[in-house]
Amino acid sequence: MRKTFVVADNVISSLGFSTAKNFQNLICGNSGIKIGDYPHLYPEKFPASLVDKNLLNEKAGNLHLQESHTIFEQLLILSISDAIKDLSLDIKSPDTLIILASTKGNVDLLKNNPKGFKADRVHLWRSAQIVGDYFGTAQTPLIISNACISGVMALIAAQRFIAQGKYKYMIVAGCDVLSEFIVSGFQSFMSLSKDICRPFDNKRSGLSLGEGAATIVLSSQEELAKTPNLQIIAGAGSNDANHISGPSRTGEGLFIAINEVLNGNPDVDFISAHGTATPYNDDMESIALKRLGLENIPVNSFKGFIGHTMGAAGIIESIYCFETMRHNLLIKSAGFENPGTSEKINVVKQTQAGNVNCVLKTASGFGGSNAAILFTKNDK
Amino acid sequence: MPQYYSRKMTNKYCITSFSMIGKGKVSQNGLMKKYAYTGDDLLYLKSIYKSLGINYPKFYKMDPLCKLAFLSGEFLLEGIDLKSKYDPSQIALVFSNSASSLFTDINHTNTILDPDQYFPKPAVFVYTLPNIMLGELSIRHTLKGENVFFVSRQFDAGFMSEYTHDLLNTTRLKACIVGWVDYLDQGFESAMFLIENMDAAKCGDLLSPENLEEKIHTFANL
Repeated sequence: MRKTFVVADNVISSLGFSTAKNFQNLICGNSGIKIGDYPHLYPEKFPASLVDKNLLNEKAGNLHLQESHTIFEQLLILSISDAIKDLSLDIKSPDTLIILASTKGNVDLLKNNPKGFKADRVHLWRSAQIVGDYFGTAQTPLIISNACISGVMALIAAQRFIAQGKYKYMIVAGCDVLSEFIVSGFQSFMSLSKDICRPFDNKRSGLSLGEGAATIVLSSQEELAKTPNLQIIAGAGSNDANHISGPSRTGEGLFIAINEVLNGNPDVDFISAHGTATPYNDDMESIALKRLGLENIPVNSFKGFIGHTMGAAGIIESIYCFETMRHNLLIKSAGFENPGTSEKINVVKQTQAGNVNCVLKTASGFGGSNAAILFTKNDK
Repeated sequence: MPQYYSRKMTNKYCITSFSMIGKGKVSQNGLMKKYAYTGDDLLYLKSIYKSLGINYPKFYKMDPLCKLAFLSGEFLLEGIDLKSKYDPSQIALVFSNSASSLFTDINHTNTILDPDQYFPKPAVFVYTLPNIMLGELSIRHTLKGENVFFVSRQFDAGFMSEYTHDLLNTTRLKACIVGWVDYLDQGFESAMFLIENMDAAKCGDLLSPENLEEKIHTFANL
């Protein structure tokens, strides 16, 4: 089995258009979630984490994408372009594969299509073709659409493809764009917080939505990995088999997924949880972590900074994990003040220095889906 | 979908059950059953449900895509006791389709089109994800293994076959349901395959792209 090295990455979110810019904002404790009037998304004021559309337009303009591509496609292309810009890899080569993770892709076109894109543009398989065509890839990108675990599942699949020697390079990109479609749905579910979300806190009252794109380039070629050398060790998924829109009360699926990934290895330094800030989700996670004996490991949710970025969340938050490993910094769980889960867990309250050599990232989503993935660091 | 490396597969996995649903016909392991089809897809699915004689009220809450997946799962697993052979966490689901959840996406969009009749419904919105069918199947059959949902323009037998092979070969997963379930206004398709290790099964055909495709084509041409 070949090892899977992290070679490059990019995050585009409300906190900036590069990994470095995003992490700088995390260190400073700046949240990109703003309460505002977003009439194109919802008739009333609500908190959202949005990508700077002026900057996006400028950057998309540099690549001549403004008229020809949707915002969703622009974000994916910009994120991938930024991630690979300093690499010597040949994106057109048959041994390079792009995996895209998204829940809703271009769904907004069903209602808003002023540029008159063709009807098939709403399909995710069409998005894969568009991204593949832009980069001239030999392989049509693969699409994973697995609710809020899409990003982590895409990384899990990519790690396996590298491990099995199927591809030399995997480019894993995730994106979801906030639309009226998504906001109206979550509002109808009553799962949105009126204030900026507060994962794991006793006053948490729902999630905040976010948008963004992110890309991770993986390779079996160790010489391409930068110092420190980061690897994806393994990942696994599990279904709660309990409810299609609510988490298991016992954290069953998450327990199974984490247990499978850790495989008896208890040396996790930090856990990046799903932490949506809905009462049930965060509680479920605390129960699963307690059952696994991981309740004392420092844990955070990055969603207090960028909201729930859906299909992109697993990839954005994994890159934030890479940054915590590169900088040996535990990033606080923004919005957390007082414990508010039925099992006590060790939520990071203040950003602090600490050895971060092994990180567990988890995700859970509608349809009872759960996934976990493990990252390690080796200083060369 | 990408061209997956065609390494020689070890061929220790078999298609131990399969089901397909089409207009007016259902296949259960190649055995054809006729159902009256009057042109209304939803009524057709309901009539199949009724013919099964089961009591599962949640069926009526499902969107058409999940109804189709649910019924395919009933035919696929009828008379098969997975629980006696596997821990629930060892049974995986590897699914794909073309239209994702577009049928219900359009329904949800219709609830927000007119600002004066803006009334999104949670019972609709929850079905605007293609992997909800994996949740429905997991609940119905107590399956707790890994789930993945791919979207591809057409069913890609090569990719699905090799992905499933590798999943069973390199993880502790022991069985897998491979599915293609697609539902739109213009029509629907559903095919499901249960894949198990030879040792655990009275062997059917080997898991291979050719065998998956052959079963789908045989059904389509009937």
